[in-house]
Amino acid sequence: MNVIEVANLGKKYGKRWSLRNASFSIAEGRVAAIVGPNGAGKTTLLKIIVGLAEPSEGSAIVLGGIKAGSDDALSRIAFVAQDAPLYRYLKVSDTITLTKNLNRSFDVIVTNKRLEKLGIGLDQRVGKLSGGQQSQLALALALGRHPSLLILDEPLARLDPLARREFMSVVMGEVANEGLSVVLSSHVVAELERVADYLVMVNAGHIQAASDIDALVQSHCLATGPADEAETISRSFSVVASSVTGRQARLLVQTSDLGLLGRNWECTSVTLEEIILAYLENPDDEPLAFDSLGATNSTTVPL
Amino acid sequence: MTTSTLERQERNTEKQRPLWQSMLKVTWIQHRVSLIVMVGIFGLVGALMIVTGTSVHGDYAKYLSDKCSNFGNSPFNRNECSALGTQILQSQNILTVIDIVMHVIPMVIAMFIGAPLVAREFESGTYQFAWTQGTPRSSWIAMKLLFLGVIVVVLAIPLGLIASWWAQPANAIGFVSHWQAGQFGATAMTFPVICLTGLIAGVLIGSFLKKVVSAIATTGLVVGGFVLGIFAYLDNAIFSIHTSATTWYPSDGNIGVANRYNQAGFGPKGTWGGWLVDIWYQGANGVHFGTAQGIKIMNRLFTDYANKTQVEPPKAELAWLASHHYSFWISYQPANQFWITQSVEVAVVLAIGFILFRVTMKVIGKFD
Repeated sequence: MNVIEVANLGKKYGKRWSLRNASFSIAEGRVAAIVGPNGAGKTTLLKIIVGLAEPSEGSAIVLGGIKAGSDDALSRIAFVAQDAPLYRYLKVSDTITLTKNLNRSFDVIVTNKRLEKLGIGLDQRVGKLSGGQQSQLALALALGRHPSLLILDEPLARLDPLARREFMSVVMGEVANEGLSVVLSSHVVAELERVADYLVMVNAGHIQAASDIDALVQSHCLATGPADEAETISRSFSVVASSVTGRQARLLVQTSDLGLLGRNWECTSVTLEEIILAYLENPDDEPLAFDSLGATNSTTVPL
Repeated sequence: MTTSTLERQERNTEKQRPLWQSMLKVTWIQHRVSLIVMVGIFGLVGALMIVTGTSVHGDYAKYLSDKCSNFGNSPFNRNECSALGTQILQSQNILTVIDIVMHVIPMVIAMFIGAPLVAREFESGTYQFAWTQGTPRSSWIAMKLLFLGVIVVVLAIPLGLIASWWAQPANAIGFVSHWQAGQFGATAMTFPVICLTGLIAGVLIGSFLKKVVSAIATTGLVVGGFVLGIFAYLDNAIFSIHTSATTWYPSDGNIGVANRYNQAGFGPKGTWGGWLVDIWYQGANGVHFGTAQGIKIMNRLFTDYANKTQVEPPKAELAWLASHHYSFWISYQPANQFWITQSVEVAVVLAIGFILFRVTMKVIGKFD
């Protein structure tokens, strides 16, 4: 079952397209990361999926066939928005009661235990909590709903490294114990490799890639070889980025068979962050068919 | 998945309560401070009206026990009556303040409860929390408006009753009338629906503007204009529907004065306790004269019969009119139409409120 399936999805605000021709799917049980620079369309995409925005074109289906934003979808998807907006004037206990009453089912005991573990007192005002604690509270409330799909918009943005680790360990614990599917958007790319197993790259309002992370990393390498052969390589493979220093060229290549590069070329593995940054620097590229791992022509950017 | 969603939901989760109960709790948690302040304001205004009104009612009771209630002639036909009448007459100043307060309260409700209701959600971003929970946003706003609306109406009804009770002595004597715009919009029927519609208008404006301060300011202007519109136009428009008409004699007073003294003993019998709506002169064959010509006729009449208008009925005036083939007419709402006209105003204001409610639902449902 796919927890998210979008086809030709687009969203227009006024005359400007915030998102266009977005098509991808995320299978159940995945931890998917949606990455992209600020203003790329990540939040718009997530807002459509959680029903806070209506698509201008295309369709968004969640949880194996439910229309995004429908009553059924709302009851099974938990969303933690950017900066975890909660009612600052309420006490934590009131916020829990509020959430309980806004949902068909809510696990107060588990939520309270989680907050107790985090040292968040029920009598504290939400506005008095630190940014990290507010994010943790928002996450605890979301998890208390026992959702089938958890969607987090920039959950790590205002957390310090320790709080990030704590936050993600709670999420990953839930994934391991409950089989929860998670979609999180972030531009903190370095954190993602550790937690996500699926990646959706959004850039300038369109999807650049949607792929399993392991397959994505394995299908890319940093090829180093003679500069005079670089053009031949570029014609045969999808070169995401390139740089030439004297007689040596360095190419970030995407291919299903790295052995085909030839003897003169040495292929070294690259990190997810390097791949993502290389793609995001080239926003005008057509979407790449990572799922099929087929070679796709791409303009190159300097490494 | 390792555990099905259904199995997980059964753990540690209580039996689901009906939506209305849950939303009642939500509304209380989120708006209890505003509601407590509102109850306080209503309570304070009500208490002040009861305290000041008790004194006026004491004077009026004495006025009645002293048999000053003879409307055959002037109510101030004896010295003691004159003194009591003056005291009650002076209470009109407080009544004016009460009428103003009763017209400001719907604005206050709209500005401080209605306008921030959704605007604050947008401004703080909490709509992203509230509208992604298991309760659809249409139910969220409908239930909130329902509960807040019921509370506003429940509080406004007694306040409207107290305001009417306060004005009753001055109305009975004929200093003022419950048909006057100030009082007409402050009864236990009209006041609650004006408050309710103001509340909905505030929510709608807040939904459009999405900023608390600008929503409050705009709501103040819009709802203030709405209340003023009811006061200045709607009341009169409703009074002019399905009026009764009768011939009478012209006086040198304007129509407002005629209304105020339109009690038993003054004016034609059918109009007692009613509300005069229009006056006009009619010529031969039922020709209806306009205002300018009516004034000319009246000036000629009073020039010929100056100082004779206190005679009741003024036979000389009527004879003059008859000899010139004129007649003087008044149209009015009879006393027994009061609650019907109240109901019409309630229906009109409620219809406006309902339209605003539907638009609010649409705006919130479509927001992205």
